[in-house]
Amino acid sequence: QLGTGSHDSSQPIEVISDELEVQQANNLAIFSGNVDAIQGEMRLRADKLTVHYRNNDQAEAQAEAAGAEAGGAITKIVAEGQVFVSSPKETGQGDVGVYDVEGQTIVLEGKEVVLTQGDNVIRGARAVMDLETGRSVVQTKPGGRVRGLFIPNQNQGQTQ
Amino acid sequence: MTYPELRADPGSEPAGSGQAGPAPAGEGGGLLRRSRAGGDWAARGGAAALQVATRRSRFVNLMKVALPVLAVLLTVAVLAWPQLRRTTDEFRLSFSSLETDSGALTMAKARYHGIDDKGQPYVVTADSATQSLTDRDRIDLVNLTADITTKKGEWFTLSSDKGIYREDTQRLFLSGNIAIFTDLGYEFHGETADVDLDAGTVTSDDMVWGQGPFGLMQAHGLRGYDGGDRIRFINGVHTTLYPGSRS
Repeated sequence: QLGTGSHDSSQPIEVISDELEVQQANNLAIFSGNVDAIQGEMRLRADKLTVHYRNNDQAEAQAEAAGAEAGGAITKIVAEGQVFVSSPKETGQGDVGVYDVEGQTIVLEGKEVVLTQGDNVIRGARAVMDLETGRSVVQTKPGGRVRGLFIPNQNQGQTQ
Repeated sequence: MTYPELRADPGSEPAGSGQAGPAPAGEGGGLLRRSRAGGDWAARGGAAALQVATRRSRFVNLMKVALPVLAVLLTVAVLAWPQLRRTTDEFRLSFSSLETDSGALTMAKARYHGIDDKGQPYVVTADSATQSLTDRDRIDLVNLTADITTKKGEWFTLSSDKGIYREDTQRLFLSGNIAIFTDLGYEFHGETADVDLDAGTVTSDDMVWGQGPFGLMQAHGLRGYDGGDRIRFINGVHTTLYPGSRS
């Protein structure tokens, strides 16, 4: 899960929403209205979710350029409006959440970003959740002093 | 995009085709009577008669040229007439057979090539296209497929079991196994769709499902805009996104 080890962000994401608008030319899929997205054990809820993806030609071109296997179709997901991220161990709330699928990070921002783990609650303006290491960092102001740090449990994750 | 006018032009028998009647009797006829009367005009004052005769022959010579030219012009007009009346949409219709029974004109293997008013080419084929002679603006299509190119050079094909095309409102009501494929890798299916060809919109309030580069989706309604460039799925949507393998 989020807090204790890497989360596989290549798993399919099930999304339930009132509406979905697909903009072919801009490669955008915009979910709106009670959006509820689940990937493995991670859940993301928001008023609106914008998925940026590559269409087939771009995916192939990008792969050839990188000389690697075609990258995933989805590059980035932006959640807006009452954003709530949760996993069995941890939750995060904010106004805007950006899920960098390839970079495996979720950045939450807002007037008040709240991160909780068990009984610990940390508030700030920005939180960065690293899905690969399970580390989450809360900053008072974007780029400001760190207010709190969640470290995966000693016996499971690597110690920092 | 507007579907082409299907109607043949039954009533367009060009006017004036019946008037190319015989050359006017007039002068030529008169001269002949006199000479049959036994050649008396030469005895009556030679010079005056000669003058009348030369004027006559000049007129006859003129008529020998003018009348054939007039006849040719009239024939060309009769042939060119339908083309001159052709509507702005360039349109070619071909079909394998045509039958008319009780009140309908049915074309088998109908195939329309046309260009809509935004200059976009399209081809529509249908196993059969039936135009009811009582409601001239309605054409019932069976097993139709449409290949349409959009302004941005993208294309998509659209097929369905049945289609009712209304020429007056430029609407196409599709039903049964509707499938839409686009060259950007999208595929959508549904049971009913109302296509407004002029506005380039598609509307459905029935189950719709499909896939795109982002994944699979299913909804209870659809609104397509700008010739399918923007598609809104509505009334509750379930989507499976495939982030895909990380390179």
